[in-house]
Amino acid sequence: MGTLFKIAWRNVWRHGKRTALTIITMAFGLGLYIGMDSMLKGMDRSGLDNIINLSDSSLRVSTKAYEEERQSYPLDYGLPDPSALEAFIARDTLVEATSVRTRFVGQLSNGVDSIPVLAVAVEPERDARVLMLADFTEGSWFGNGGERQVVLGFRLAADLGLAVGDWVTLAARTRYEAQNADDFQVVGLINSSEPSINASGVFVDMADAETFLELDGLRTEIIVKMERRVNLTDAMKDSDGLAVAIEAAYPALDAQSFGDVGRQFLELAKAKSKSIGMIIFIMMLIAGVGIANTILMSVYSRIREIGVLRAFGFKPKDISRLFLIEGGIIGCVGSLAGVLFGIGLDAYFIFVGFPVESMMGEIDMGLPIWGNLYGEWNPDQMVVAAVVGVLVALFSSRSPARKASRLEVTNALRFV
Amino acid sequence: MAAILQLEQVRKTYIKGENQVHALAGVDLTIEQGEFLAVVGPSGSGKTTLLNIVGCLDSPSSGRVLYKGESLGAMKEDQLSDYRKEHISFIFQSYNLIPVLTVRENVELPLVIERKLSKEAIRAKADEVIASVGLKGLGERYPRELSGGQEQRVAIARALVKEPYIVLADEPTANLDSHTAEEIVDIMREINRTKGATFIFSTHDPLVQKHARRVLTIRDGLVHADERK
Repeated sequence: MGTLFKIAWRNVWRHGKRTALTIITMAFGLGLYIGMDSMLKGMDRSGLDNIINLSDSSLRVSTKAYEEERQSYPLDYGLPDPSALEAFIARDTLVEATSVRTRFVGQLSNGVDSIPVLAVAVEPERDARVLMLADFTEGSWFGNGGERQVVLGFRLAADLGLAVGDWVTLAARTRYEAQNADDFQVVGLINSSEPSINASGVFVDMADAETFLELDGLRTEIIVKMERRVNLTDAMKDSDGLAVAIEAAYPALDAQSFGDVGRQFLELAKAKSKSIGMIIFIMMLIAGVGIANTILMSVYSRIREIGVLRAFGFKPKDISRLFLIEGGIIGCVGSLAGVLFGIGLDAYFIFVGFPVESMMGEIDMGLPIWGNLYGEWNPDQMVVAAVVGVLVALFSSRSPARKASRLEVTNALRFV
Repeated sequence: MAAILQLEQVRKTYIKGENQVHALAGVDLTIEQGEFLAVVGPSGSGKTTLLNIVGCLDSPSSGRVLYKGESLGAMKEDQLSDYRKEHISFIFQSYNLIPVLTVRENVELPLVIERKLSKEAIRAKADEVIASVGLKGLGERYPRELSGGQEQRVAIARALVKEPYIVLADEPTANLDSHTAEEIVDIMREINRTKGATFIFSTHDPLVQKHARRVLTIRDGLVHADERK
């Protein structure tokens, strides 16, 4: 085997350019796979972080009746005794904070244009303990001024030509079906990693909403922050457990756990992974054809050498092994180069990030993130990529190797 | 001397398009151990085919080839490889050294394939044979760094390193100048004399014919003359 390996190794590098080209193709394909996988993982993590930190929290509780008509954001189905419910939820030791919200439908106008919006009334301080919207707000997450205040997603504000300090008119139907409209001062613009909030977020202070919407204490949902878990499955299990406990104690309520939302999200992400997998498959196919071509060219350029080896006692299987080893060497070096390239890409994506915001501009690609998308290390996929690379190389070398082993010795020796 | 190889009514027919070409048309031949035999004849007479069949690189269409009384006809591909590995060595007209191996590695190759000796023994043996063909000190060179004559010496060293019973040489001096050819023939004669290896040449070279102790003339696939000196 030592001699076979020696001959194979030296032959691989004998046609350095040809081999290098094959290895580069392979490394590019594998590296891109590792990099894209890192981005997808980062996208998943970012999306899930957005769910917990910006939109849904660890757990969201509303009434079942409300959930049935959720699309219209009705003010007809408030939570019964929200304070008691919050106290019940807080009994779970993993719960760190809770807050209440009331969602409503409105019309936002800058005096010239108006657009329908889905707005949320929040208790600013308590809300900031559960979600992180305040951290992404330019301007302020509600101030102490006496005027009615609104915080908008920055893209929504841009659509209406609004900036911090501008005034905007918000019209909405009150709890008792009366039409109301009032001016609100824009005090903050949210530029978060959740694009849907940037594009359509409208937040008003619950104190203002009380009078503006005649709420009379109506709260449509409770949001819950639970202890952060490193392991996603644990986080899902925690919220699932609390959701079950709430629904058992309050049968009329609907508790949407992070587990429910997260699993749906990951299902969608899986579909994206499949399409990426298809691209990678095509890339590996190209690399495989490249390797097969390289080995085949190597066979054709060494037919007499094959004849000599056979004449001196090499068996057909030795010849086949020789070329399989060559393919294996290309596969190993290509995989190693691919993994190194992938690690480089990963490092860039993890420490620098992919600038979704500046790359995409105004275009909404439907990505669940905004700003910079950061990758994630995924050593398992690196191993998978390397193993796949070597297997593809060996598989691609099989046919040329078999061809070489089946050459007639006399024909091979005569070959010019 | 004992017969090492016997050919009995060996025929080899090739199909070329619609024509049959009888490369060998019924050859009977006995070769004894230690012979220095030149097979001569015009191009296409069947010299190379005869060597290929003796060397088990090709099989006869009919007839029998016996090595030390044992028929080679029933051997399978792998057994033939083993037979070549054990008993036969080749010297080719265009040397056919393995370009990615050094001189020493080329010479060591048959022993490495044979797997009978230790690494150290293989190296010592290779160095000894390299020195015996006048290439001492060139063991680390690659074939591309050698002249034609030096390459053929390496090919001879490679053929002789395992001390086979039979060395088959197809036009070994065809690509060499007369002076180098003389040297190469001298080396082979010396090895034939001292080690008792059987040499069978296919050749047009009068020099080889002059030094051969037996000259076999092949014409139209048949033994036309068999002259012993």
